[in-house]
Amino acid sequence: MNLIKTLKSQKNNLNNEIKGTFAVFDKCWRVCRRYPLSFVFFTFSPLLWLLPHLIYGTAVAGGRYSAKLEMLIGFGDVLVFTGLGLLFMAFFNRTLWGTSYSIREEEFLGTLESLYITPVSRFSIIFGNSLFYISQVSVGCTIQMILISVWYKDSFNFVYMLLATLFVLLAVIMVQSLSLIFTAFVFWQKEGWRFILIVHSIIYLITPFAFPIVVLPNFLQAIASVNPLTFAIEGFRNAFLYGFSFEILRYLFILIIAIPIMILIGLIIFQIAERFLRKKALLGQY
Amino acid sequence: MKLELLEIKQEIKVEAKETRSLHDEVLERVNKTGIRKSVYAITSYALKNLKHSLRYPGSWFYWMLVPLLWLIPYAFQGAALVEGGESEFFSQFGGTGDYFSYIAIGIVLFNIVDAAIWGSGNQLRWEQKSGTFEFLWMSPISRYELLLGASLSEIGWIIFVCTCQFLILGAILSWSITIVQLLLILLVILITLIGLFGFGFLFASIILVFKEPGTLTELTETSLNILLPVRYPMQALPIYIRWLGYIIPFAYGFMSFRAFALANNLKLGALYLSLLFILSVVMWIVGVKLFSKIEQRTRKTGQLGAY
Repeated sequence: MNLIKTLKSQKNNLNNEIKGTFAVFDKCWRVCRRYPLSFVFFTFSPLLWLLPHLIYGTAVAGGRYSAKLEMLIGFGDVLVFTGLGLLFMAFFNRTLWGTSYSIREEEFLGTLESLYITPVSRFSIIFGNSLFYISQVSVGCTIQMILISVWYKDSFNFVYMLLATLFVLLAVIMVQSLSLIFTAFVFWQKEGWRFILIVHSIIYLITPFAFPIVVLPNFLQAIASVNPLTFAIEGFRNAFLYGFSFEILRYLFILIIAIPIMILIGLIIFQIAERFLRKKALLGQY
Repeated sequence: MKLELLEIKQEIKVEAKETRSLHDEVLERVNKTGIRKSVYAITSYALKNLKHSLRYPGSWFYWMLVPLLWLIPYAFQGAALVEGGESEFFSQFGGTGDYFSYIAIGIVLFNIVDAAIWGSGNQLRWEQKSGTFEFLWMSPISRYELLLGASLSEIGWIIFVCTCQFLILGAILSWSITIVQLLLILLVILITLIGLFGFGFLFASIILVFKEPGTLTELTETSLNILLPVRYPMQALPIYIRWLGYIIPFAYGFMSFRAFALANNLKLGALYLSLLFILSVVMWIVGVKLFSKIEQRTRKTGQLGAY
C-alpha cells in the first residue's frame, strides 16, 4: 500500500515537473514572439553561421570536391561533409549558450525570485529554457538538413537521416550536462560569457566538425579521441552518409554510457554551486 | 570677535575667487571656437571612453588573444582539403596560395570592422544605458563631434589589438615585410579608419531608430563576415551577392592590405587603395547625412530620448 502511494506521489511529482518545464517553454516563446526581428535572426542564424566555413572550404579546395578529403575519409564532397558538421555544431552552440544563460535571463527579467518559489525544481526551469532554444534552432537546422539532402540527393536515404537525427538528440541531451556546469558558473560569476567563449572556442579545436580527426596534431588527437562530442558528431555524419554499421553501434554504445555520467556530474556541480551561493547569500544578487 | 568675522569673510572671498576661477576655466574651455573647440570636444570624449575602457585591461588582452583561437579550426579545415598548405584558388584570386596567411590577415583586420560595429556604432546606446545620453546631447558640442570622439577612442583599442596580433602571427608564420610594405600597410589602415568613422555614423543612425542593438549588431557582423574577403577571396561568393561586398569600402582595405603585404603587387594595391579612399569618403558623407536626418526625425517624433 505504501509503495503504491509513493509511486503515485512520484508520478504526480513528475507530471508537475513536466508541466513546469512546458510552462517555462511556453513563456519563452511568448517573450520571443514580442521581438520579431530577434526571433527571425536567431531562427535563421544557423544558416548564416554555416556560410563562412562552407565558402572557405570550397575556396580552399577550388570546388565542391577535395581529393585529399576523399583520401583521408573516403568521402570527398566538401559541402556535405562540412555542412553536416556545422549543422551539428549549430545545435550544440545554441543549446549551450541558451541554457547556460537561462537563469541569468530570469534575473534580467526580474522573474528569478518568483520562479524560485514555484513548486517546480530549478532543473525544470533550466530544461524549459533549453527546450525553447532547441525548438528555435531546429527551424534553421531543418532548412540546413534539407539543403544538405539536396546536395546529397544521389545517395540520400531517409532512414539514414533518421538514424543521424538520433545522434543529434543524444548530443542535445549530452550538452545539458555542460550547460548545467556553465549555468552554475554564470549563476556564480553573473557575467561568465568570457569564460564560456574560451571553453567554446577550445571545444571547436577538439571536435572534428569541419575536418577529420586525423589532421589534428597528435596531442589534440589524443584529447579529441576522448571527447564525447567527437563520437556524437562522427556518429551523426557516418549515420547520414553510410547508414547502420558496427562503427555506428560503437558510437551509440559510448554515448549511452557517457551521457548519464555527464548529466550526473552536471547536476552535482549545479547543486553544489547553488548551495554555496545560498549560503553566501549571493543567490538573489544581481 | 571682529577679527574672527574678518577672517571668515576673507576665507569666503578666497573660496569665491577659487570657485569663480574654476568656473571661468570651464567656460574658457567650452567657449573655444572653430577647429580648436571641435578638437577639444572630440579628444575629451575619446579620452573619456578610453579611460572607461582602460578600467578593464583584461578585456583588451582577452580580445587580443581569443580571435586567434578562432583561426585554428580554419587551418585544420584547410589541411584536410588540400596538400601542402597552398590552395590554387587562393593563388589565382587572393594573391597568395597560402590560405592560412590570407585568413590570418583577414581576422586581424576584421577587428577594425568589429570596432566600427560594436564600438562607435553602438556608443550612443551605451550612453543611453549609462544614463548619460541626455547630458551629452545637451552639452555645447555637436553630435558629429560626439560620434567622431567615439570613433577616435576605438583607434587606441584597434592599434593595440591589431599590432599585438600581427606580432604574434608574424612570429608564428614568419612573415617578412620591408619598410616600404610596412608604410603602405599603415597607409591602408589609416584610410580604412576613415571608413570606420563613416560606418560609425551610419550604424549610429540605425541604432537611434531601432534602439535595441543586439540583434541588429549581430546580423550586421555576421553579414559582413560573409560578404567581405575575410576568409576567402570575393570570387568565392556567388555572383549575385558578390556586388554587395564590392560596395563596402572595408573590402578594398582587406584587398589592398594583402596586395601590399602578401602579393607584393604595388599596382593592384594602389588601385584598391584609391577605391578604398573614394568609398570611405562616400560612406562618410552618406553616414553624416543619414545621421542628421534620423536625428531630426527622432527628435520630431519624440523617439530620441525613448529608452
